[in-house]
Amino acid sequence: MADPRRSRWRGRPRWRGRPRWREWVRWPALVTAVAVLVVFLAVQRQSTDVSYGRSPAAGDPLPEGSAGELSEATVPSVAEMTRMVAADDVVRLPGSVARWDQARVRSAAGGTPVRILVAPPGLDAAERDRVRDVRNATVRVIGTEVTGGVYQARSDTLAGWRAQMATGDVTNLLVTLIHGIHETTAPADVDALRRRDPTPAELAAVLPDLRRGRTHVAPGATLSRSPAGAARAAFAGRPALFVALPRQPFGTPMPRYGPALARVFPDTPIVVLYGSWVEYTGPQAGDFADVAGASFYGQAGDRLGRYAYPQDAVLPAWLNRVTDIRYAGLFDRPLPYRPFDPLRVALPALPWLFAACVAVFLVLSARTARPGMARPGTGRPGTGRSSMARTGAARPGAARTGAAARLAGLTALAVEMSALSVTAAGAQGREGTRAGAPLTRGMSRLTAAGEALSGWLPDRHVQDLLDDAEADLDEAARALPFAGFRPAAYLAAHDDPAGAGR
Amino acid sequence: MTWLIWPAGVVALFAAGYTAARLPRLRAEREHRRAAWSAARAAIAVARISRDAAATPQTQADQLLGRAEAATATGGGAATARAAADWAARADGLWRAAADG
Repeated sequence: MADPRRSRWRGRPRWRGRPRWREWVRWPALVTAVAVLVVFLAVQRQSTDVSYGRSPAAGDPLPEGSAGELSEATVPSVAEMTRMVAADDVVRLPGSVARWDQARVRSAAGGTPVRILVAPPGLDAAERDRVRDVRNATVRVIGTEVTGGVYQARSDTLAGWRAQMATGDVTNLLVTLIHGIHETTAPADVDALRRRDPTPAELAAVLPDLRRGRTHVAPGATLSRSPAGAARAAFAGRPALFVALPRQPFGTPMPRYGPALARVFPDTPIVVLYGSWVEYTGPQAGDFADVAGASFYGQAGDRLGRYAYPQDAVLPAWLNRVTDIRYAGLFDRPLPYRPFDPLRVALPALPWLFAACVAVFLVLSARTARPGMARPGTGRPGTGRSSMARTGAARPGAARTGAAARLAGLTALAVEMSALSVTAAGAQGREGTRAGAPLTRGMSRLTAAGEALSGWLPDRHVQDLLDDAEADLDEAARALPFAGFRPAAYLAAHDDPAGAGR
Repeated sequence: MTWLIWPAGVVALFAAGYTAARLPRLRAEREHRRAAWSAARAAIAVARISRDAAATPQTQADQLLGRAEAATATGGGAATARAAADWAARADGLWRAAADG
């Protein structure tokens, strides 16, 4: 209590600091914003598949033949083939698979001679180039890919693909192409493929394998391994039955195994391969079989016709397409459970989250920057804490209150002393004036301290001025003939709560 | 155009950080300067009182106080203020000595 700076003002300090919660929101907002920014930058992926401007380096990552699509077949030299084509209207190289309805093609050709060179499927690029270099051939058929002039004929219906993939029937393609070369309108495609039920003998050959849950691979078929993994994904874990048949003979009705097998195995996905043609029978066939077929052959039909893909490559590709369609939600099946990924959910919201965090931080920080909200009464900002420690106050506001109380006490003392010094001057002459100058100096300093206090100057500065004023008043009090006016004693006496009413 | 949020936000954060670092320093400098001038004015006022109380005129003290008052009138930074306060204090000391003697 002897310390005049610690006055009786112990009440609530006037410091209007920011409430705690604001600090609790402000900094987490900044941390969140930075975290969001880091997450955003971390999930950015640079794709390695950049082609524009780097075209020469962009090679086919899968070398031709890696899926077993090249056959053992080869073709003679260009000169040899040219000679063969010149000798015969239709040249069928060994291993070729394409067949057609000769009457329809002949009628499409009309009177013009049409020379057709038929090469086997699965030729490599150099061999295909040799076939294309045979200039005197009007139409070239590589596998079931039909080209001629600047044209290529393509199937675009399920029936067309079925005929082409299952039996190697290229009649429609040839007719279309010849009409294209002659610049006449081609007639509509004819679906010449007849279907029949399988004979009991054919069924009997297939059923034992299927009954044992195995894949039936007919002689000549090229399916060597069961596509269990791809099938599980495609049919949602439902066990499926597979029948692989070789390319079917052209011109005879083709057996339709699907419905016959479905009667034996109801509610089971049944996949029958006829050459490169995949047929599905079973649950939800109407929902996706056509879509899968059109999508698959529309995309892969060209390659399937040109190359000799084994069924090992065709079937998994088709099953993967079915899986894609199933996951695309095209037909009503619940998707399998996907674990909740907060990042995937939050990614579109990240920019806004970031903006919100930045905004919150800025708004709450803007209050700090406002002059009125600065910590008043502290010493030099940046050394505010040590300044507080010097004044012995717990908080800046308390220091300010202490300075104000001290100023008030000293001012009261000065007022009393000024009255007394007049009396003393009258009584003792020169002694009174000796007190006058220090008293006036002290009062001047008190005025300056009051101005500094009201101007929110640092507490240390105010206290320095008050120290000087106290020294001056002390000097004046020593010159006075009355005791009890030394500032230390006066303030100590008046700091006593009992004397507050005086 | 959502991506614009990122650069804008980063720029805003950096600007805020710069302001947050710069503002208190500016404020401190201003406060320091004001305190120095407050001390200088107080010293000048005290010196004037001592001059009035002095028995004999002091030329050197008059000069010192004049320089301090001139500095106050011109204004300036904290260093000028400290110099003015110093001159005023020295003038005050001279006059006090004259008054006591």
